[in-house]
Amino acid sequence: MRATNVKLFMGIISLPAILLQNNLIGIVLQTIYVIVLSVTSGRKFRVLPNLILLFSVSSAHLLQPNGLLLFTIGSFSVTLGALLLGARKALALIALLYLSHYMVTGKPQFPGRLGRLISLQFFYFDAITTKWRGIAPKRPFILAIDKLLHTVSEQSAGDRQRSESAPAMASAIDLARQGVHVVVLWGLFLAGSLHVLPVLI
Amino acid sequence: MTRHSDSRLRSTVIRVEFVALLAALALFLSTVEYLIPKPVPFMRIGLANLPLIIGLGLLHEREYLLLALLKILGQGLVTGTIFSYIILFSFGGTVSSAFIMFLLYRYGRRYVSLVGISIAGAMASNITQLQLSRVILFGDAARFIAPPFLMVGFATSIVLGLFAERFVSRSSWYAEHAQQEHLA
Repeated sequence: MRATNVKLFMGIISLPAILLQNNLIGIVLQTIYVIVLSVTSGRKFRVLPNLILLFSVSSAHLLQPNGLLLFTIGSFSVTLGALLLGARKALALIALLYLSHYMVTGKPQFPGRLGRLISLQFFYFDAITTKWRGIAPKRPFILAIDKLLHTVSEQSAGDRQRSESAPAMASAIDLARQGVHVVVLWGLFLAGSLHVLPVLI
Repeated sequence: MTRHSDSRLRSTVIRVEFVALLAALALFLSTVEYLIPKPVPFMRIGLANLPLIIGLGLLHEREYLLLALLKILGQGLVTGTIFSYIILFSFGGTVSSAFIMFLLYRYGRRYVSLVGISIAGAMASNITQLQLSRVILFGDAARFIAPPFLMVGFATSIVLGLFAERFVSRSSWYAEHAQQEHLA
């Protein structure tokens, strides 16, 4: 297996463990685990967007009352079941987002024609960002973009072919490390499903 | 015969490279947009959609579809959201807006400006994303976010449409490629 695709496969194997998780404590632990994985691989973690998602999805679920009535605000009932259901769904979405962040940190290479097209796109993206630094003046913006496109269009595809190198194969350590992550995420799923973890609802 | 098929192959390669260049421009513009301060959180002009609008006059159906697909995948890879639920929103929004804009450009170009096409594309994208948010995130509560979401989309699509109009009329790069496309 290519070294660049190890994290990708680890993520694909682990996705169902998050999607199928029914236990709230289980999904909290899985979310924390993938956030740590993502952050230690160099991705950013922002608190506010995640809090907004958690709050908005949980609030939206309150519109359908379910389970123990906690309190009422006017005619609006806040129920424990709806709140926890919304929180579980929001946490699953956050966990999947950070698992996705982690999966792309290995810079995965897609196979076949589509993979070649994506790498061509990224070749041009690199060329555009590099050439943009040399474009002056950058105002008016439309004329700067026009100049940029002229410059990049002249770049030959031969440059790309020369810059491509054969991908390295994954080491046994890489495979073992990713295997541990798969085991942890599936272990948390099993612990939730078999009621090893406490059940809140 | 061989020379003919060789030149066809070369022409296809050049076209595919051109689509990849436009898709790369979409990625670049999305990073530029990231740097622009937003008056309201989550409000975007949608600069990354500019290549989809200017591509209307430069690409054939398949190439246009390929551009939309590369834009989705490229942005998903750069932002790291390619394997998350966010890619569904990106896919739904981009494909529906690309479809509507392509149809409008192909059959209604005489009656609709690029501003109109941009508004139609944004509305198609926003409505698809609202439907997805109803299914994936909020359930029926999605109706509460619909009015501000659609109003912001309407306003930003006018800005983007005006920007696209100016680009098409002023860019020598666009004029050169549009002429080549016309001759082909």
